[in-house]
Amino acid sequence: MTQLPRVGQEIRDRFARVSVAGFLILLLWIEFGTGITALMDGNSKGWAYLTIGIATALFWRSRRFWPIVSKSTSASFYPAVALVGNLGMLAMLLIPSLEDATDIPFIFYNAGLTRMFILGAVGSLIAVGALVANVWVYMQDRKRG
Amino acid sequence: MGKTTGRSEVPLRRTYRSLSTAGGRLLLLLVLAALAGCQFESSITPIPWPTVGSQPFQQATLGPQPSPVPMAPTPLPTPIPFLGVESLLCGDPKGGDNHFGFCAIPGSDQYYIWAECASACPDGPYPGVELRIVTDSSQLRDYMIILKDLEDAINERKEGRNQGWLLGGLDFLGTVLGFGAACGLGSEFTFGLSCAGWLLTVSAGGIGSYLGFDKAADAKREQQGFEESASDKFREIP
Repeated sequence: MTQLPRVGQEIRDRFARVSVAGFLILLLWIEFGTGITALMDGNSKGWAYLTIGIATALFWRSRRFWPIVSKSTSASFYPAVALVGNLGMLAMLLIPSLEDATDIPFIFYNAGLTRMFILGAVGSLIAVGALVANVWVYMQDRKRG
Repeated sequence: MGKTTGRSEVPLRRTYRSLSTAGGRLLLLLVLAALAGCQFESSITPIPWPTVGSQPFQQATLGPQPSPVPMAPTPLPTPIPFLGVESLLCGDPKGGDNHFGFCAIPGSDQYYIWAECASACPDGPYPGVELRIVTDSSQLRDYMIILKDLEDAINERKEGRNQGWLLGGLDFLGTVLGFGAACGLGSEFTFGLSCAGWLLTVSAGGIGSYLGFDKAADAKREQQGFEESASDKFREIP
C-alpha cells in the first residue's frame, strides 16, 4: 500500500528535476550570456544581468528552492505546463536566431551582433536539449506506469 | 591406186598453199611487229622522289614509368581581412566598424573612409571593402553622422534582444514554477494577494519581453536604412 505512492512520487520528482534543471540552465545561459556580451559592448547594464544570474544560481542551490517549486511541480498538469514553457522558450530564442541567420554573412561584420547571434543560437540548442530531455523522461515515466 | 592418190593430193596441196600463204602473211606481220618493237625507245623521265634518310634506332623505354607526383597547387595570395580601424593607422575622430567606417589620418587633414562594396569591388588590399582617402567636406560630415546613427541602431538592436530574452526567460520560469506557490493548487486554489501579484508580475514580464523584441525589430529596420544611406553617402563624398 505504501510502495505505489513512493514510486509515483519518485517518478514525479525525476521529471520535476529534469524539467526544472532545463529551465534553469537555459535561464542562467541567458543571464550570464547577456551580461557578458553587454559588458563586452561597453554597456554597464551587463552588471545588472550578471547580478540577476548570480541571484538565480544562489536561489537554485538554496534550501528554500524545492519547497517553493514543488508546489507547482506536484500538480498533475505540471508536465503540460512544462511542455508549453519549453516550447515558449524555444520559440523565444529560435525565431530571432533564425531571423539573424538570414543576415549571414552581414551579421558577422559586427562583433556585437556576432556575439548576439551566438548567444541566441547556443540558447536555442539548450532549449531543444531541454525539450528532448523532458519528453524522453516523460515517456520513460509513462512506460514505468 | 595412183589415180586415187592423185585425186586426194589436189585438195591437200590447195590447203597447203592456202595455209602457207596465210602463215607467210602472219609470219610477215609478226616480223614487222617485232622489228617495230625493237626500235621503240622509252622517253620516260625519272621522277626524283624525296626520301627520308636512315633513322637511328631508338631503344624503347622498358623500365616502369614514373607515376604522376602530386604537386601542391600554386598558393593564391591570402586575402587580408579588413578589421576597420585596427587595420589602418588611424587618429581621432574615428568611428564605424569593418563594414562602414571612417578615421582621420594622423598628421594630415585627410580621412580614411571605407564601405562594403555594393556591387563589383575595385582592386584594393581588402576584399569586399572599398577604401578611400578623402578630405574634409560636408558629405563626409553627413557620412559620419549616419555612421553614428547606425552604431546607435545596432546597440539598440542588441539591447532590445537582450531585454526580450532576459525578461522572457524569467517570465517563463516564474510562470511555470511559481504558480503553485503563488496561487495554490486544486482544492487549495485561492486567488489571493500573492496570486494576483504573481499574475501581474508574469504579465509585466511578458509585456516587457515583447517590447524588447519589438525594439530590436525596429532597430534592425533602422540599421538597414542607415546602411543604405551610408552606402549612398559614401559614393557622394568627393
